[in-house]
Amino acid sequence: MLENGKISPRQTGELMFITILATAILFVPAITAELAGHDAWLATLAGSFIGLVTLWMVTWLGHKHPGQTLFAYAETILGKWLGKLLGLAYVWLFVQITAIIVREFGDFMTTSFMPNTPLSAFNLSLLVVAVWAVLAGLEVISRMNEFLILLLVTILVSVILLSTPNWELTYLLPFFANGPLPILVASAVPSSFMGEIILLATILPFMTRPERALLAGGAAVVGSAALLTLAIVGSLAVFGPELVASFSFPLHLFVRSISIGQLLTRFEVLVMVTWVAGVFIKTSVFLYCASLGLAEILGLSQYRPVVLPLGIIITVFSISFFQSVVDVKEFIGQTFPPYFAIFSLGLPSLLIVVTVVREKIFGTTFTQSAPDKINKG
Amino acid sequence: MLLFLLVLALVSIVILEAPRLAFAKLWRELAVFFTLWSFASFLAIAQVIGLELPNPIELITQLIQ
Repeated sequence: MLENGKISPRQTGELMFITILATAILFVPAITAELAGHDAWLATLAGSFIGLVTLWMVTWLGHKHPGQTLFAYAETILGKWLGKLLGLAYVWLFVQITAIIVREFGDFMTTSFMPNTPLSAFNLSLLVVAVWAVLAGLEVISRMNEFLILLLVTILVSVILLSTPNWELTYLLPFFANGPLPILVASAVPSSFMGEIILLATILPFMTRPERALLAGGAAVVGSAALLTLAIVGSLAVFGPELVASFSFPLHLFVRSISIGQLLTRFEVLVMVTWVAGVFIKTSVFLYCASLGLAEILGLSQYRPVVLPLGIIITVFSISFFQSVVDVKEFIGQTFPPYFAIFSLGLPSLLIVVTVVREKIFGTTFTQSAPDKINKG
Repeated sequence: MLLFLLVLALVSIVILEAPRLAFAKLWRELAVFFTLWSFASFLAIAQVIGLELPNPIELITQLIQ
């Protein structure tokens, strides 16, 4: 096995929760408000449904092929070469998403906090820490996350609650003013963030009780959707849909608007703390899955040799992929959802169909052929 | 100056990883490491000296639309 660590279902759920929420909370409000106006928060709820569909497919595949990661059962199902090709496609996807996350981080820091610092300074420092975390292993990332999740959720919830005096709930009325179509169109963006639950396909075999995966993942999707909806309702109620759509990072300005008795102000530093912590976890998880997948496809005995080179590749990509923050927002809003749907919905359903066809028509048995090392570890 | 720092970083990565793999006689891992490392170095140096490479994001954008 490439990974000797084990994480509990609760840790898995928390890891997925932070992974989905970290970048979604900064980018989703502006993009959905642009597409759905004041119904943006309903789009998030609709989007989380897609996440649950992906989750169901991932856990079905995981239970059908116990003890195997996405990369391993792709080979079991499709055969050696086709499976490796599919695995490589996922590695490429993870590398690409890591680069985009790191770019989002750098852009947020340069536009909102330190405009004179070059982008590469943030990108490089984040990746150095993430590479270090990945070298330490999945258990270390999960335990770090157990601490950070408390910090992150407490800060986000209290900041949203503190803003309630500024809320103007009439901004949210009327519901469904333009019919359900804009909501469904806008839900593509949150659904692509919720679809990141596909990472569970790589992590599932390292759970102490893999049968709890559906519960852990479901809690992660529903929990992050709830907090994201709360954040969108908050920023809509403070600014109104037009203003939210015009910002790059509404949450940041939303938090800036809080002031309690002239004394408690400038909460945006807290948002920066949650953002740095969340993005660190998210980058580590994606880099971990990419490294593990690549090592598994190439048949290595450990994933360590690929982590540092992947780190350099991602640093370069994070700088060269986009020209500016506007490009990032456009890519996430328009190109990314259909592209990501291929990986979060298309390819898993292909794997399920092939599994069922091979079982029913050709009589292949999958469950017994799996190694039972996993139960002893 | 930037190029010098970059080369320094790339060389230090080899010093960090390669001897460990060579001593453990993990030749397959060593080969994979050097292949990936050369690709990464090529990308990084191309970025620093300002060489124009095809951008995967633009390719994807064209494919999707």
